[in-house]
Amino acid sequence: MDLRKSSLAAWGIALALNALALSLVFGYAPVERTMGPVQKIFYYHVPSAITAYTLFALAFVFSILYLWKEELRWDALAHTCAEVGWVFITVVLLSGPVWGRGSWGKWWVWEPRLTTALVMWLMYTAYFLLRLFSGHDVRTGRIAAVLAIVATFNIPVVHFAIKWWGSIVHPGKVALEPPMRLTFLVSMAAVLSLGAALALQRYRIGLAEAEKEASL
Amino acid sequence: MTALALIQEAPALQVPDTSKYFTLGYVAILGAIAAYALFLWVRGRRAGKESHGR
Repeated sequence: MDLRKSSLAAWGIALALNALALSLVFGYAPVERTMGPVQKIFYYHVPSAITAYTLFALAFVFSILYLWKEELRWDALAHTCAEVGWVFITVVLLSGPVWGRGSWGKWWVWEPRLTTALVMWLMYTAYFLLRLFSGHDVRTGRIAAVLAIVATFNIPVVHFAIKWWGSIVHPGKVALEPPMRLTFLVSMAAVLSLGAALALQRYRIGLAEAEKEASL
Repeated sequence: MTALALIQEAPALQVPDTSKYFTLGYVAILGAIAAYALFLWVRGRRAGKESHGR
């Protein structure tokens, strides 16, 4: 199967799963007693964070492969994963404050999970800006690869921030009722498939642009 | 405590109405993803047109 067909198939799966996930979020998942409907942000907030972590971990692997093999396809894949991961961590940082405002009355609290997530966003914003304004030469590729590798070490810091420093707003472990668990699992699959569809499309565009540059 | 007393106390235990923030949250989530997908679509069309135009 060629890349175009794979991309179309990924979009088909992603749209179907997201239609199902959203119908479960809006019509099936029960309303949580203490927070009310705003708690349902959880069903896309947490999967978006996990999708961002996954894409950043892949960017880490592809960056190492690029530094090792010096093949452009690894750089293109690392760039794709870091950029799409940045979109999902942005979604996390947009939806989190709305959830916070609705449930504890504040848009932002300087607690460990939020602060480290913001640092992560800033690191990948730096990566994104470097790629946007520094052209497509080998030197930029190498600097970007090193930045992506260094930034990945922030993932366990964000994840374990609650365990290491405690948190007033993020619980360490959440027990879910069966309908909530089902909705969460479907949403997880939906957001991951959306990440895959966006990454495939972004990779195809990267290849088309590289072809265009090579022919100039 | 009678059943009536329980019913009268119920409003104090009501689930908070945070539907405004629930809607705002999903507008932000789906809006951000849709904006990026649209950006990719426009960029893809431009890249496709330019490579076909040569």
